[in-house]
Amino acid sequence: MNKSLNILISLILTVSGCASYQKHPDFTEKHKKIYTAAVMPAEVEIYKLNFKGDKDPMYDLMAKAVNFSKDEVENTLLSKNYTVQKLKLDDEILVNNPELKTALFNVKKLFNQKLKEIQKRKEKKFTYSLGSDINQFADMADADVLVFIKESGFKKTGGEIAKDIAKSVLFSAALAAVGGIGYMYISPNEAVIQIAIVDSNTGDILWYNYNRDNPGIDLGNERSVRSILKALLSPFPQRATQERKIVDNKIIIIPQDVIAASLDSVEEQVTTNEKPTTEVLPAPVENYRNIIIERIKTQLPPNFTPLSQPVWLRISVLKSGAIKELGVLKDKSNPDKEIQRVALKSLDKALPMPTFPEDISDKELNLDIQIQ
Amino acid sequence: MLNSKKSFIITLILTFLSGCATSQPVRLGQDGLSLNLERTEDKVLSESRKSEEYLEKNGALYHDVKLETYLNEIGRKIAPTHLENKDVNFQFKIIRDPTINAFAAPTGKIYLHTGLLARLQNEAQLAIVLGHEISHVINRDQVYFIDSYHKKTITAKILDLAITPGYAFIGGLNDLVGLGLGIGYVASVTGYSRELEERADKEAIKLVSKQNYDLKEGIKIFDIFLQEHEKYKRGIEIYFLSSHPSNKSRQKESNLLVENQFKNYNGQTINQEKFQALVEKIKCENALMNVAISRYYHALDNLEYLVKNQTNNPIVHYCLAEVYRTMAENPDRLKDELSSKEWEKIKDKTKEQRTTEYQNKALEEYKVALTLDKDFFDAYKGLGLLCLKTSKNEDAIYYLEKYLGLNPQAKDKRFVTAQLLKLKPADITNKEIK
Repeated sequence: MNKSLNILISLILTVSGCASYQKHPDFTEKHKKIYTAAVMPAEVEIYKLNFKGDKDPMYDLMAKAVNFSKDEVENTLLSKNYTVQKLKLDDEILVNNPELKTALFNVKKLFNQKLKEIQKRKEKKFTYSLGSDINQFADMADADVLVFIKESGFKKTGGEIAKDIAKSVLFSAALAAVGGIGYMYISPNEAVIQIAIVDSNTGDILWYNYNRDNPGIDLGNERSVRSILKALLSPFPQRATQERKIVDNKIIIIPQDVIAASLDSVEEQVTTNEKPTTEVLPAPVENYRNIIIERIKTQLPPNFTPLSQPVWLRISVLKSGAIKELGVLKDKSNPDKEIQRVALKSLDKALPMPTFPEDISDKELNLDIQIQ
Repeated sequence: MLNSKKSFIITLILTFLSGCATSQPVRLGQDGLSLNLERTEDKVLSESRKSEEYLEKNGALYHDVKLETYLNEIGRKIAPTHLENKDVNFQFKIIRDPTINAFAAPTGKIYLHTGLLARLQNEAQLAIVLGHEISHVINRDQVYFIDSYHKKTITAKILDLAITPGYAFIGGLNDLVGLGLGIGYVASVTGYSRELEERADKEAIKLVSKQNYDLKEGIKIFDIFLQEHEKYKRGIEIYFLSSHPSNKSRQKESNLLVENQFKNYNGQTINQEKFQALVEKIKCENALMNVAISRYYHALDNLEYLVKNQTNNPIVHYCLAEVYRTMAENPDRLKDELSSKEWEKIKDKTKEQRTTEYQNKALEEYKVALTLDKDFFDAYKGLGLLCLKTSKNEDAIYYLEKYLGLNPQAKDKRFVTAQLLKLKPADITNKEIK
């Protein structure tokens, strides 16, 4: 009974003993806007240590670990309701794009530097940043956060393990000779696995975790690495919950901070059959509407090409700049749901809107916004 | 009892550490390599090829056709071509790394860090560095080193086993044992012995002398390395600096060789201008790489020549401004970078004083860059970020928007827009409405 309990406790400790995560001071606020994530190619180093002292890189295992680690992290994020965007940075793509290859190398190097700073606790608060270098990867994936994985470890050969055992036996025997009891810990493998979740706009490391409590991992063992990655991500919160309420049969109100959360199913949620208004707006309002349009445009993905048929959004905006109501004007809009999703997402990113200028006395404006 | 055990263990450690004698190697092209060394060489060659592929695949190599052609011309001129064989083919490559290092693989591939190229002053110095690395290949230093390392490691591990009961009794000695072996390991694994390094220096001088280079100028590389030791904390330079034993001793030996054996030698090639023109781009890029890892004074070193000689180059002023702007954001990081002697020179000023001083310098340099090129969009971004830090929000908005306006396809559009959104929306509204 006791034996089973011990096994169970050590199993639980192995899988869940990871209370080492750290987060950015603004994490709680920023997390509300994390809907999509993309996983960067994992950086993996596995060495074989032998009795002669060689430290040989195990390239085959490294290549395998890169793939299954990314896969596991993507699955874990999906299970937490995040939309996982695919970031294609395989060898073929990199060979044909040396500039991208260099950018990836630089980002990895910078990430390693930040990991060193985190370990040395260089900042009083957890405010580490990779800066703008990650932006181009975020653009490629169109993701709110990028996930970085770094794994480094070694496997000992039989000779090296035998040496450790002999050392441990001698140590215990020596202690026993003077009436003491003790042993030396022997691990055939050791590894550090680190995960960081990075804001794709600012480059700030929002959340970080590593396997502080269970270093004896074999990075070549897919099952154990997958379970550690899952355990490391377990304290990372689920995607922000969705809250919607129906005002009438046509327009759905969506709170400002969860617009993007409903983007996955544009068709059923955010549409109306109304047509864009042809009413001529007073100059200050028209001016304000143009500011909003420009602001949304700056958030469109860089590869967004002008549309032959625009997306029309109807928004109800308050004096403070907050959005009260929102809908896609179905009849006039481009029918492509993906394009509608991009338009809505860009609107979300552009929030909050500017407060009304002094020459607009209204408390609320209903505006039709054309995204083209 | 304890004292005698302690003495025994210390004697063992010292015996282990002192076994570093170097005999004459079987050089490339010579017969007589032992079977054991042949095996080690095969393994080392195979591992080197894999590592070379890995470096290329992962984007670690810096590519600049003109500079690489030049390096290969100089390197091949110095290398004795008759020694090349199917396994060894001298090629000279650049690694994207801001530290001052160079290393040679036994395959003949010689890697120079961007950080080293950014610090050398002329072709004569480059020739000495290349000659030094070529010598390591010719003498199979890595093969001998690994063979010796294997033997030492095995000895160390047996010694470690033998003294294990020792540390059960003598708790206090545990650290000493660990530290002693650690030092032994570090000395053995991170670089060649002094003998091998001095031999490589001497051989480099001889190889370079055949190409008419100014030797006195060439061996000034030691001044650079010594200055580096003097000015900075020992950090991540592991190949050429920390690992290479006593640069002072090597400098002295090299000077003696040049003064005695090359008394009547009249080589005069230095080629400073040609060299500097080719490394101009690398200096700026390396400075920014140093900035990314908070090595600000190193970045200033990289730009020193350009600042003096290219006063009308807006890129140089921009890079200088970037160094000062980021230095102002982390003024205490200098303490991690500089030697205590160098830190003493600036620590009298308060953090606030230093921040203001660096911000003012950054502002000045951005302005010069923009005077020289009014559409230099990166300088606008730098100014915007500087204003953001100094709470000049309206100016920050103006400059950051100017940047995005001039560079609509900016790769860091997300970052800049995020900075703009950090500013109060009211500020943006007012500015846009006006």
